[in-house]
Amino acid sequence: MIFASMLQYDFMQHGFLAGTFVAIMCGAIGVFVIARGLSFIAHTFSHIGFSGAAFAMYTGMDPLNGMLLFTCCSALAISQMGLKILRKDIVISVVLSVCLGLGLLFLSLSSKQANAISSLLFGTVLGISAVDVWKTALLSTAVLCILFLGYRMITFDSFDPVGARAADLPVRFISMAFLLLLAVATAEAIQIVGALLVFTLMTIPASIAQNLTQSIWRMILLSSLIAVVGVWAGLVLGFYTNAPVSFFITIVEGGLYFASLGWSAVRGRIHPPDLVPSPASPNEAV
Amino acid sequence: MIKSIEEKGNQVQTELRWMTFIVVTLISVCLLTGCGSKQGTTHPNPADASVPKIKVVAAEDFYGEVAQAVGGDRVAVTSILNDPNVDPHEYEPTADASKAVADAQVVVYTGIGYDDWMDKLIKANTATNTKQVVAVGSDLLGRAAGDNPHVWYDPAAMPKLADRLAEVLGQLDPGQAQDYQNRAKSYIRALTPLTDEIARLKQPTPVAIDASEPVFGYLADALNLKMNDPKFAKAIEDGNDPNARDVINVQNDIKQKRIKFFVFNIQTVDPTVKNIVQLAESNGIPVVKVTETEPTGENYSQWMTGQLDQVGKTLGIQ
Repeated sequence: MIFASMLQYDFMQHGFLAGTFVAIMCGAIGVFVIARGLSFIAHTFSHIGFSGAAFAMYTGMDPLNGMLLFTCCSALAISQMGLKILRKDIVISVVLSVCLGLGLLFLSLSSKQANAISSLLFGTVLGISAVDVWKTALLSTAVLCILFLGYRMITFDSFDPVGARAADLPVRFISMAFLLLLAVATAEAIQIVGALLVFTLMTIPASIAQNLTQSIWRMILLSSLIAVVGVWAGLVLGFYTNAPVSFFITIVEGGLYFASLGWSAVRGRIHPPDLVPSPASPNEAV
Repeated sequence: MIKSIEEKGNQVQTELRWMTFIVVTLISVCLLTGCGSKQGTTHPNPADASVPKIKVVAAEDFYGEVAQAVGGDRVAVTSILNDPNVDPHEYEPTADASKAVADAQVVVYTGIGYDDWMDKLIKANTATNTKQVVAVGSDLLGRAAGDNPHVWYDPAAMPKLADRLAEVLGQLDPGQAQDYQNRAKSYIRALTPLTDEIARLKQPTPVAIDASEPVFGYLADALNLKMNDPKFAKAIEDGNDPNARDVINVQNDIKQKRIKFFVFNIQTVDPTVKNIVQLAESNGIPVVKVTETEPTGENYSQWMTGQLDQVGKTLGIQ
């Protein structure tokens, strides 16, 4: 009933479809982003994409190509310079600063309006065309396939970096390939949902999943599911209340994160992790 | 043996916890959306009139005004940007805006990169491709992306829009075509005081001015006023820092009285602009205050006339 009146609109159908694809992709890739301690980089790529778009506007190329150029170059730069864990954040900050500076330069050099660029920051979830839905579907499938193909290597390296190094895995290559994959995924998803949502969906659902389960497969499933729930809730609430959809998605995801924190705290009190719960000592449960 | 049972018990418990979390999540989301839908149904749509009106959506309210004037009581006009406090450069369409565009038969917007969000909203609807879309900048005035997008300051814009709307509405509602034509004519006639005023104020030789933003550009052209600081104005418009040389040029224009007046868009005030305005005031250079979008409670004609009066005063033409 509710859904029927909402889904008669093309823009809502497109929003649901594209949003679901982006959510599943971001949820899945987010698990590795969190495990590798790269949540800051997901944020960085979103903003580097903005500079790429400004560059594209200046040179007159397609904004997507500009974004891909900038995010991929930054991915290469970061993976070349930032292999030592301690230096990672500094390298990312430097690359981000340089890119934002370049973005401002290209904006001021270009004679065109900057409106199209600022709309990239928040996206227009309610203005997705049918072509965009197809693009998103293809991109998400491609990213998920690559993740699936490299699943064993990337899982080993993400969750046990010391072991992966000891087992002679090509860690340098893995980290570079993952950053490139992340760069492509971010640049494409920004066009559809905007930088804010890409960052939200790549970090929060995966962090929630990490609080709730140890198994990596479950983490991926749960993270994608939570991302999808957030996007759907955001679309429905946005449709009926007329507040921005991005706001609802971020608030729902944020709320779920705090709920999961509370949940694991309660669980930790009831069943301390190193003690096997036994019915013989009910006092402990209080 | 005992250990393995315990382990198994643990595993079952983890799974249970895990599933409970999902269920709780889903329930809470359903509750949330339930609340949302209730709120939605308490506001019934008042558009259920007996005669179906032609639904027109205008991206900005000054176009909506023309559509209302030409369409009369046969059209229902929705103007999306109708609050002078909203920065049109940072607008993110809401669900209501998307709905209005999806249902509209006629859409009017600026185009040429000014309101890109409208492009997206139009493209988001595949099934209803029967919309009549009028992009004032590109369709009516032959401007392209990269040109000054504030085309509604062009004195030719509103008359052309009125004519085009009469044509479009006449196609959708042929029985009333003549009425639309007549109303368009009387709307254009109502704008003649404005065009007369522009002709009266037009300078015989180019007069130099500076502006905080390119907003006033087309009207300045019509008055034969020459904007001396296009780069400064563009930087402010884009929310960038203007470069030092451009700021110095504007300051020198003011100090050496090379400009007749300074045009100040009061909707965008940043520290650089504030300083320039203060400098102009202390150097006795008049400041003409303009707005990018239509002020509440004024129509297009009143809005433009008010701004032209200020220009007339500074030029010494009463």
